[in-house]
Amino acid sequence: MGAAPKQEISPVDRVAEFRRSFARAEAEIAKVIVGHREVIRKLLTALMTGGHVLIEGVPGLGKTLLVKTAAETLGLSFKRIQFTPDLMPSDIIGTQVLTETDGRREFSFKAGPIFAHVVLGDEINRATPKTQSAVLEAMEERQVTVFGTTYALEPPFFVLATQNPIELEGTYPLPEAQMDRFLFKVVMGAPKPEELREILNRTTGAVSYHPQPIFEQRHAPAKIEELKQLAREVMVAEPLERYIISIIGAVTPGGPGTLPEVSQYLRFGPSPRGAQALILCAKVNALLDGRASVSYDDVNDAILPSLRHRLLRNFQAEAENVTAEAILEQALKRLKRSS
Amino acid sequence: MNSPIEIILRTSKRLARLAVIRTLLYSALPLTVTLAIAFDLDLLNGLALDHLGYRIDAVPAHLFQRSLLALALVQLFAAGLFAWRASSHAGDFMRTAEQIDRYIGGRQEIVTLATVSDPGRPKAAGMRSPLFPMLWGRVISYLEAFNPRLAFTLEPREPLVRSSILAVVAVIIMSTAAFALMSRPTPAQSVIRRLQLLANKIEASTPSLAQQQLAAAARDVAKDLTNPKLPPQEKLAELRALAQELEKSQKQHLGASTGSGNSSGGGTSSGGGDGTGRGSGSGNSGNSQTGAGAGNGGKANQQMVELHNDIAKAQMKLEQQANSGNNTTMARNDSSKGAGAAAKPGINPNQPGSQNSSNGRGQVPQPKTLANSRMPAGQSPSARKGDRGSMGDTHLGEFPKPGNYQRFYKLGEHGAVISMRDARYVTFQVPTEIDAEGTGAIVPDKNHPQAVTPYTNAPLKQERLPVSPDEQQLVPPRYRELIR
Repeated sequence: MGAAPKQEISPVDRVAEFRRSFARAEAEIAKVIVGHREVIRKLLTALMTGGHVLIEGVPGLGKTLLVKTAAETLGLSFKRIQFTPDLMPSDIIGTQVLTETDGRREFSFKAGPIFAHVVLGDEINRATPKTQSAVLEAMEERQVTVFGTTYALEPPFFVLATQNPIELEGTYPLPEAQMDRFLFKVVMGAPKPEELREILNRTTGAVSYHPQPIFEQRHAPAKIEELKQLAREVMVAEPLERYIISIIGAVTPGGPGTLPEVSQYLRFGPSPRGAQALILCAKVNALLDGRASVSYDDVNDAILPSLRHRLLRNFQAEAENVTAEAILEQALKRLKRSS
Repeated sequence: MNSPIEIILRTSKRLARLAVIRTLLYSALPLTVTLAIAFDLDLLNGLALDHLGYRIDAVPAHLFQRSLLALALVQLFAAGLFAWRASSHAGDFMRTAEQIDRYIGGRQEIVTLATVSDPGRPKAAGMRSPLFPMLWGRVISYLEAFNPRLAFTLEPREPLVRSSILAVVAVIIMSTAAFALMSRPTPAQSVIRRLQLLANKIEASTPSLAQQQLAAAARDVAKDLTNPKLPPQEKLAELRALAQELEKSQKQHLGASTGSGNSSGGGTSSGGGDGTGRGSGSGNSGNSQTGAGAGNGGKANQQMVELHNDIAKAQMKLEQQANSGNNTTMARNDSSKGAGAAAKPGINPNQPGSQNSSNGRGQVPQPKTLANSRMPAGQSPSARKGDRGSMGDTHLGEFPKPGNYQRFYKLGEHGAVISMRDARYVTFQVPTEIDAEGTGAIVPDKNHPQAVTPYTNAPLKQERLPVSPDEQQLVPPRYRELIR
């Protein structure tokens, strides 16, 4: 006797389920993290698209807590790596160790902390480029190779790296090529006074807040993979694709339709990964709005987190303190005016 | 409920139609203006002659008209081309979807559906995802209340405003071209025009048989004057005959219409030639119309006087032409007989009273070449052509160069009495007209029933001074070219 046929779920129900899961995850994380709604949303969005996130903020804003809470909420395994200058790649990805069983000595693979669903790379800019490269390679390939043996990283593999914008002495800023591998760069700002009051209440009182996992731990990876699949099914109209291409062209020096500010202040613009990030983020935005197709607003919402870390400013921009965000906002204004 | 694809297709057809109409509206006014000017060029030319004193000659006018018609053709072709482009652009499936999206606020769902369902692209269906049914359902709900006829209507205001701007630009360009082609008419052309107007005027009123004949004669003469093959002598003869006819007709008219009108003035018609060459001088009897009884015929009289003036000028010109033709013969005769003919001036019909008969010695307005020869040495226009001096403006640090400039006598400089004979410029006080009491009609002023002449007379000074002193009245350089 065969198994019962799997019940077909309508697209509308699938989208509704996506929205429900997302909203529940946001709510659970918000139980622990006060404020930072936009950061939480972008973090979950990146998770739904299979991308990684670079979080930038001064110490003490709750970056580590946010990532830990997110992993807990989604029912995923979580590992934290504190990056230091003496951290070696093998400390992250693991290494072959000599073990003795039944009188026989052999090498066996000892997996590093990279083998988890959610990996927090704390202060990633403190490690040497060699170590950073080891992580970034794993991020891109979703596998690691040790002594010729390749080990796949179990999906969903999600890296959240934090970067401290101050205390830059003794740090190794991430090379542009490696920054490009992060889907988003989100900036955590200081909490507002009322948020700070709420933080104090929650962290200094007797009651401790813990998020409830929205998925069962054993089903969580599969569930998240389903949601990721759904996000990729969202359709994009041809004019929207042209719009995204025009955005990339506008902020690429020497590209088609380059803005004057871009030529003046940028050395390099976003790579095709930037356009991919825009579309994926816009797709998740569309699903969160209950639509099966991307709109211009969805794309515009994704521009800053998707592209800000992909613009390489020149010396003049740094001297004049022209930020990548300012250039992107200028480009967006021009494009809106011309469309 | 129609499918969304059908609705988009229907809308695209409507948008294409609207685009064509809008494009044709853009070009409507410029095209109309161009055609109107092309077909009414003769009328406009006549108006320009009447009001501005300039006209486009026949050959340039013909070329200009051809150019305007060609321009209209180009405009028509361009309008057709743009309409076709606008139609294909507006009727595009994707663009239509975008327009509908904007209209209903569909957040790009219509255009996404169009992207994956474009009937013109079979591959589009392959881009559909499992979420397509959801998209289809949402688009249907959007388009339930959508009616292309109500959503996209023709708004003619904007295209018409743009069209009128284009029309104004076209008028400015065409007017500039027309002004560039205009020239001052010859006396013969003035006469032709006036004769045509006279004939029209006579025919417009209910003319008697004699007047009809006069109108026909005027037309004939006008036509003959335009005929280049007709010798000047014949033209001259026709013109004289017509002048006499006109005079006769005018006398009859005045006799019939005025009881107390006073037609005074006399004239002598004399002609003579010195030597054996054929010299002819013509004079129309001076015919000043005076008298209060003329009523509103004053204006008509004025026109008649102007016509007489023009005829006189044309006669003089024709005489010159005739004489120049004869001079070739006369030049041969001069060698044997030592005498030639001098052109005789006509008679100013506006001068009251009898005039001196032309005896060949009178001072006539001198042609340019003669005037040039009378200029002081080194002061001919050709010599001064490059010397624009300071143009009378000294604020830039330029001062008029001391030179032997042509000048005029100041009033009274040459004595109390100034002879009219050498006058270059004479100012008349023309008879004035006043508003009749209470009637609103304009009637001649009894206090100034006729022209008073001259009350200013400034003849050209004969001798030149080597250097003009400061106190002398210099001819401003900007007016030099105007002095003929």
